[in-house]
Amino acid sequence: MWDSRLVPAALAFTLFLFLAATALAQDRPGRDTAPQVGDEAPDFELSLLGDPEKIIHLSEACREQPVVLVFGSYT
Amino acid sequence: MEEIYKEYRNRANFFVVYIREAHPVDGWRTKENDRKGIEIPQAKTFEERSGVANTCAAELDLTIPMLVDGIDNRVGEAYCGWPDRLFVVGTDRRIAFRGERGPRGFKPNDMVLALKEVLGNSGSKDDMESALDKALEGDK
Repeated sequence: MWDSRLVPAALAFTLFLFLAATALAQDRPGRDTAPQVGDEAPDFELSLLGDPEKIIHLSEACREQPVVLVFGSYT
Repeated sequence: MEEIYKEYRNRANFFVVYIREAHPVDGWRTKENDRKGIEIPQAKTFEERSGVANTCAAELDLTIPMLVDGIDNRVGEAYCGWPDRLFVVGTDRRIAFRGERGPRGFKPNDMVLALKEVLGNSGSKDDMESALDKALEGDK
């Protein structure tokens, strides 16, 4: 019933689909694990664009004033 | 966001956190980006990401201070910020506003309402003393 010549092609196609799905999954949102309102904000220290020696610590930045975080990218 | 930043920059600290690309050409590319000539691959190094962040800031005329997430995407993942998202963190270091994930959930007006509430609840010591002085003046 099965043509043995088709097996390698079928396997290759299956592998291609798996790799494509994996690649696309990395660009899709998964489970939403963001901190909730009332949770302690995850602290971080990141460098400022244009002044890489200036490090911003969230815990220091929010000491005197609230902090607005805008996550995003160019694309 | 720039307008909001200009209005509230003296009362809150604003930061753009530049994270991994939403629609890189080597990933989930979009026709809209192709049409605009925005063809950017996912950065593989921090330097590459910083370079794209610079381009983004220049092309969009952004003046909001920008932070660049490490190539390990640690901060973006901690906040589940991909593809875009808004948060307000209060002076108690607690999340005061948690926007939903963009693009549909990216709602600056909702963020502003929350920010106003946070600012309204955090009157400065000077404001309170001034209010008390006025109240005492009224009693004389």
